[in-house]
Amino acid sequence: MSGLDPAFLIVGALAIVTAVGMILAKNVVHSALFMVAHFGLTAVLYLLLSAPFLAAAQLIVYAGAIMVLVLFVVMLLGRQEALLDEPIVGQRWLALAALGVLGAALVRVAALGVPAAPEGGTAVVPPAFGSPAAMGDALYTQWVLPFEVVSLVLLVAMIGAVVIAHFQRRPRNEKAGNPAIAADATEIPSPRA
Amino acid sequence: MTPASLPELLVALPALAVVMAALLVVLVEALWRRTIARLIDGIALAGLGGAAFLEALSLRAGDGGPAIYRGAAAASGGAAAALVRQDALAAFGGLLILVAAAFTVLVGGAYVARRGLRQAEYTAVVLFAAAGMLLLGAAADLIMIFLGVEAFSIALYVLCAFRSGDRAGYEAALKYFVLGSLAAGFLLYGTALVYGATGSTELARVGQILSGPDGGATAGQQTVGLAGLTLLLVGLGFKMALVPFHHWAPDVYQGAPTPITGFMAAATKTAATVALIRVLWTAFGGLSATWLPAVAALAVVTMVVGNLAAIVQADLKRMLAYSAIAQAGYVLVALVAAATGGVAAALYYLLAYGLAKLGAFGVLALLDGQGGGRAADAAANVADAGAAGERPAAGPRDATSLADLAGLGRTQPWLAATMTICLMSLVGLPPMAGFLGKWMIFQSAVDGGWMWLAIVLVLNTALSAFYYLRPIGWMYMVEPKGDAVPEVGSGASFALTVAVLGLVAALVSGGIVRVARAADAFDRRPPDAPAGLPPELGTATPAATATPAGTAP
Repeated sequence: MSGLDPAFLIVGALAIVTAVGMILAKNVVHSALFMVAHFGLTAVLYLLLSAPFLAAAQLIVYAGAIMVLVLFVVMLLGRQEALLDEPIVGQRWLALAALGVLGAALVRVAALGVPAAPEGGTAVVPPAFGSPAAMGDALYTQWVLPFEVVSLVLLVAMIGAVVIAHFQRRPRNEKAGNPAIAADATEIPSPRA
Repeated sequence: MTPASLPELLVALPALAVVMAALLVVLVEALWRRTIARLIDGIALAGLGGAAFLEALSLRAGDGGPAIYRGAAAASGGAAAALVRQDALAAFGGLLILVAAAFTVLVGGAYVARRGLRQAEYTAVVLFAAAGMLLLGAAADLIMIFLGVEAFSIALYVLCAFRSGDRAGYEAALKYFVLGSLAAGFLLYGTALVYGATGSTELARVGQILSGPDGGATAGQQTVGLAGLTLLLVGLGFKMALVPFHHWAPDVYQGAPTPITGFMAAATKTAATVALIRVLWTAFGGLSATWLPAVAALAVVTMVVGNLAAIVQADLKRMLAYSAIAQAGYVLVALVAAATGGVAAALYYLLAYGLAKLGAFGVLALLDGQGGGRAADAAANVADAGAAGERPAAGPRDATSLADLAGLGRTQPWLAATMTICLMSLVGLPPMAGFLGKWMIFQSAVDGGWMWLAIVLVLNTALSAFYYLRPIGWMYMVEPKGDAVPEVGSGASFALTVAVLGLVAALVSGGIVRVARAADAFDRRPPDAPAGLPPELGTATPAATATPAGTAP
């Protein structure tokens, strides 16, 4: 395997920094912004791996649609300071220890020799690799069964969302105010004063 | 062969019949605009029955069974890679899943109707979950394993939260969802590592590359592959509720609607176990010397922690949840001893265990609404006790405490007898199917040279007798506290009878053991693969090549 691409190193490091920033940010909006940056950097990583279609999908779906949803939730729930307490005593140190073990394992694996490129694949990808046409061809010929199963998963998720959201309201819970959320009003945490 | 017509497709993919029934249920509900309980039950049972027939067709498929391949133009060296393979192992697991699903539809129907919940959606989502589990059981590719897990998991998240306005159910669903997503991440990372090591996600191909001299795997490839296996083990271990990936199980089992808890205990465990068998022995059988000690240790921890924690539970659903964890440990012992008939033992045990769990949770589901004034008690085990106390759960409360069983032997002798038989089978007492299952696991462990593991299993069984027999004492030796008699519908009582009869039939009939043994002959890498083993994927026409049977006796 050839040496690592410097562009990959820079983008990868930035992606890790933004991911850590997203977890550590106390402000929800800062967290969300870190997440946008992370999604964008991941898209660049896909580009570096010769997967332009995935990069575009990443930008449109995650940095676009998912991010809008996240911001809506932040808007509805109010801007709260995240509680950065540890439910388990010494959680952070345990996590760091686990990270150390994982890192040691990685170094050990690297010492054993990183496996060669996947069988049948070469270091230089063909020009059409990762293009929308190639993706479509793979999805609708070789991987058509998994593709259909994914559609099944989405259908179940859709039915499930309807079932959970469309609950019967009991009169006891209907308070004055916004009737749309009255039944659930006690469950929405009020924004901090 | 890639199936070209619908019948061929159905034979290779019985899950399709279940999916069609689920879609029909949704359509009927949408078009009729009112729920016709009998029609919905009928469609569901027809779909499940049809799928069961298709599964039974391939129950004795010794040649690997029909499969769906990744298309003729597979890029990987001209050899077609199987996505799903309907072999005998898939068929046996599939039949267990279908029985559990039918049981859940019948028992759950009464439960759902009593609480005024939506029966059609309930039935449809149960069917979707069953279809996902069938896919997982037949998966021959890591991608299909991941998708199967996702398909049934999402359905189960929904079913956990099915009772509207019920905080315990919502909490169960949320916990299951968050931790389940994490487990899915592990599964995906494991898949990526295995692909990185071998260049394939197909289990048989991975096994071929990682084992034996013909694969020519380097040390680095094997190490990366084993790292992938570790992550896959975490992901599937989560679904099987193995210790230490079990923390979700008690809360989710307790918070979910009782029929769903039974479904999760019986069917999810079966599907995940079959997938784990394939991952361990089809893909990583060649490296078994490395991972066997780790899996054996996992089995010991799972058995001991599950049983010890079950002893101190006052809540029946939590007790049965920890018992389900311990039982997963027993199954894992059988997987360790897979070289000496352990797979047949695991399958038979899953049958006995699944029927007993369905029966036990079924009785609890029928008793629901009988427990009164103990809502705070039920909430005490839930983390957010204060919040739950402010707002009592909607509708009748589930019967979950030992006290709810008081005097059941007098008020409901028939339900009490069912519960007793199921609990005795879970202990593994001699006249029950659970005994034969444990005996088969014990025997395969001893034959495989895992004497100490077999001893741990026996000691744990003795330990578990304590908490399994305690509810029986409550049912027969404590005075009933009220005279409320639960209404037991015809469908539910039919299902319970079938479960009990199944436990008896499984014991007296040698046929089930024989079928389980036949299912043992799935495509696997023997631990010490002879060099001359024909690589069944190296040929141009995979359908014509008989999958080399394992070294099963």
